[in-house]
Amino acid sequence: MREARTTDSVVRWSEDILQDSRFQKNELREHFVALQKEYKHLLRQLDRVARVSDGYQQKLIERSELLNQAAHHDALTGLSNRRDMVDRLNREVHAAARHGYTFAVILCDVDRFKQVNDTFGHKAGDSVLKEVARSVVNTIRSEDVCGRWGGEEFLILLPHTDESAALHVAEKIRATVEEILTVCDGRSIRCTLSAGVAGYHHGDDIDAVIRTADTRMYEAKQLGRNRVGPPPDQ
Amino acid sequence: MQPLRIEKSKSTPSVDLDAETGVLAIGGESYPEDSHQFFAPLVEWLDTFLTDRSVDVTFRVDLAYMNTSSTKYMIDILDRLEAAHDAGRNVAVEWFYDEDNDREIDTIEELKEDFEMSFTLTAREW
Repeated sequence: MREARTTDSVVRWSEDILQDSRFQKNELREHFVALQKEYKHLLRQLDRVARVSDGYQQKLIERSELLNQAAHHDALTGLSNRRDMVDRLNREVHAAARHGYTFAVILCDVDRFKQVNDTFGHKAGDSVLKEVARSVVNTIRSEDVCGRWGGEEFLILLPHTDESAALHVAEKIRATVEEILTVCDGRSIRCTLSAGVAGYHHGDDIDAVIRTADTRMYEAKQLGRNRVGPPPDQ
Repeated sequence: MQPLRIEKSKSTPSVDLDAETGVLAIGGESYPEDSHQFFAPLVEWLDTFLTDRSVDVTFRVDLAYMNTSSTKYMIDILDRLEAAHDAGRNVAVEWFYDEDNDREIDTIEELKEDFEMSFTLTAREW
């Protein structure tokens, strides 16, 4: 059995007493030795309880991390969920106001997604969403954040980025997604997305900025899908 | 000797101590508000059982979680069983663990090393 690793002063003090020449032939020595043994046993028990308990407390910590992950992330795609994106947007608004910079958002929607679900089934639809999410994340820069905003809608937050730079990113995302081939149960599915971009400027209402991105995304859909709004001439 | 049976609650495990079969089972999660109040009757039952009966003992532990004071009592119980083993009793501990949790396995593996009695670890089936 393992001895408790101890820095215990009582143990060291009792060792000193046992070493003391005056205590070598003391009539209480054997009681003292027994007491010291019992004390060491208690220390060892304490150590054992602490170590086993640590193991179980660690489990709680891991569970809480999982819950935290679930609260902020979308289970299907692993992206930030809408709630997390709202938090991030609000933080970005405050940071932008404080430091006087701009940022932009891109709202993307997978084209004819209902048709994918109806034709290939929901499992295929889920695979498409996962593939799109993966490509978007691979396309954006490391400081940008992509979240699942709704069913087949993704919102991308681009810090320190103006609208025209965000348009370039959106176009890059559109072109990447166009090339994806999702394979599900032996069937290959192609899809495209339409995107709307909007820049945030100091004092803007963040909900209005999202609405602008949303309107531009629907305009892109109306112009034939697989495109990015606003168009260059706007 | 009457068996000791306690239904599982939100913070206390189920308990089923049977003197006839010698199977002592405890399962669930253990973080009672007052651990002494919960565990003292178990330990008392165990002491009587170990003194009065000579049947082989199986101690089956299936705790997904236990807090520190519960851990202390569980180790007290294991120490009593180890003492019975030292005195010649057939004692087997069956400890169930969560397969996904490496830390839990390591913890129990380490605890197991403190005992001479039969101590087996089994992955919990969900």
